[in-house]
Amino acid sequence: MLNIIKSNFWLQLILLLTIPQLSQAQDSLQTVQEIRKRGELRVASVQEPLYPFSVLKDGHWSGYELELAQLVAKAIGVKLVWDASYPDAAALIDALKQRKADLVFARVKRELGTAQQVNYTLPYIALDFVIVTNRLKVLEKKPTDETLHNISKLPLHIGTLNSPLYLNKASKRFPTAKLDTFTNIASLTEALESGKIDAVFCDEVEARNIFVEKPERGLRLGYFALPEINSDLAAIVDWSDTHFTAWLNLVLEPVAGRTRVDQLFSKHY
Amino acid sequence: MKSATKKQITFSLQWLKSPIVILLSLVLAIIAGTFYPTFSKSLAPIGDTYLKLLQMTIIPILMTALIASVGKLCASESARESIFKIVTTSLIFLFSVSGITLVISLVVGPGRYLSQDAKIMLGKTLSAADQSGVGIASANRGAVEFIQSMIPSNIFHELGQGSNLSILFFSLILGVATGLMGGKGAESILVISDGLFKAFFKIISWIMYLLPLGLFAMLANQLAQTGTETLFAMLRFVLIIWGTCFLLIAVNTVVMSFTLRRSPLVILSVMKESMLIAFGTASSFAAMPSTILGLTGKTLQMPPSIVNLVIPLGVVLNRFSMVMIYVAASVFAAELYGVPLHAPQILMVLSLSVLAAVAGAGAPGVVSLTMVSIVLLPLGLPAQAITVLLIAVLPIIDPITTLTGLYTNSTLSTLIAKGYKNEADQEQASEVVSDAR
Repeated sequence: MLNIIKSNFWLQLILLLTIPQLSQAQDSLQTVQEIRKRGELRVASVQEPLYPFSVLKDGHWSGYELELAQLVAKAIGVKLVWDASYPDAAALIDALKQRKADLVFARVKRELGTAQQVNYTLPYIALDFVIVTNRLKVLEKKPTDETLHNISKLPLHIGTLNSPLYLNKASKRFPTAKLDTFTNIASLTEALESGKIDAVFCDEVEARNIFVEKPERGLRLGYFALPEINSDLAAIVDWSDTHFTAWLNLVLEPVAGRTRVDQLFSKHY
Repeated sequence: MKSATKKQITFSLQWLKSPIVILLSLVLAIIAGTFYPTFSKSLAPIGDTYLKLLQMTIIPILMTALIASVGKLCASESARESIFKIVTTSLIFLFSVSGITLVISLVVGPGRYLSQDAKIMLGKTLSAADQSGVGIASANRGAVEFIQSMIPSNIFHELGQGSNLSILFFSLILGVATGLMGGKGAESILVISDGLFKAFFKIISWIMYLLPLGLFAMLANQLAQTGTETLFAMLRFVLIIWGTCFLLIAVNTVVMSFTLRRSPLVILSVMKESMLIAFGTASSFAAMPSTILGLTGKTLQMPPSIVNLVIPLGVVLNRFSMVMIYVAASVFAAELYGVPLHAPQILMVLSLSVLAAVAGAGAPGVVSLTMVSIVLLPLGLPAQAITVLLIAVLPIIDPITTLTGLYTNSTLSTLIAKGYKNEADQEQASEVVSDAR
């Protein structure tokens, strides 16, 4: 047997390439076994709640991402430990690498930058992007009517989150607009209401939350869906956990892409 | 024997047309619509069927009335004078309604003193409409588009589509051609038009026996559709519309009373059927035959040549209901968004509301509401948002604005007909009434 291997160059090459992969698969298989042995699935998320994905009420977490995490924990047969103590995406990726967390559910958008560091599961929801306008500020620019088609042609001053994904999509959709970046949705909303900017470019969940927080904002702020621009949200795991990712995909497959944002909002409110 | 049986049947069903039965059906409709919304919504098919019965004769009446009346008018010596009188009186009426609504709106303030709860309610209504993705596109038309929409490329297609503006335009042209043509051919066309006109009125008189049931079903369903929360949030706006309507009904009654030298009670009594149909159906077209019947009847004896022309024209072009809504909505929007209205803006509201109402001629109710953008956009006010709010309160203001619009058109026709005498008219009036009753 060894002679056959020694004499066959191609077989040697195949074994050389597959042995590390097999070992990695063995590692990720160990991840599930470790979780079972530990008796708990450690899911990490960000501190800041965002309806309807992670909702903090009376010290208790709930929401769609928690429901998905519970689904995974139930499938493994362990209890769920939800750790929403991480400030941002970078901290969550560190937690995965240092094995402090098995899995992250934190409305992470699938993009190339993050994909170089972690592995994505199947997307559990697709979000459309949206433009939220200050109705009166837009009218100051004298559009012929208030349709998105005509508003898009105006030299708008648009604010968006400081993310390459958002900036790239906003600049492509509104080539004539002046773009400004903000650190979070709260500062964007404040700038929009005070008239410092004409519109906000964000995803539909972030946009809907602007109105859920203060429903009277609907009087002054308009909402235009941009269904041609969207992004998927997925859970993330460490790159080495290939078997775990495949297994997670099997668990998430029945729900992947089948939930709509409006359904989630009506369910969690 | 046959005649006796016929009289008995007529007598036995006559109570269905009595004001007490009709008022009772309205009261029951209000109770059902307010307290039993599910049951009231289930009445929609009955209401729709009754409205279809009424609408069945509208286009033929519109056509025959216009062809016959315009034909006779053009054949008469006073044609030019009558046309001038119709145009000027209509414009005076449109601007008067706009002015009265504007004064009331500026004094009362439809968007003033809005509570935080009201703002939350209105904000929720707007964001729900925005997020549902059902955008309300403005139906603004330029002058060229308006003229193009008026001219039918194929009149039979327009008849099938029920395009009132095109049918009106075609009937006017045909009436003018018939009147100017003269001779036996023209006479035959006018006789046939008159004959058909009377036959359609006979059908309307039969449909009137079902009026209490139809009104009950339509009004109950309409009230059940009204969102009480939005109504609460826009209460001052709704009250301004209702108040303006009551004032205009009173002014119209007084003007008609002086012009026709009849007591206000007689005027109201003659017009009650038309007013109730307009209120119950929220459709000027459905109430048009009854209005013509009331004005040309034995009591008021107005000349059919004028009434048959002015009422259909007024229903399509003089949309007083829309003028009131546009004016009040503009003041409401200005107050809601804190945009001050100075003299130039007030003049814009006054005149653009009339322009928007005329530009929306022939368009159905909800589409007409989008025409508010003609007034709001030049003022820098968000028309799309205001249209959404108007649609939300339309079921509660539509019945009274329809009634007032039609009643104002009736007053308009009495002023235009003042001093107009035509012997043939007198004969035709008595024939139509006796046939229809």
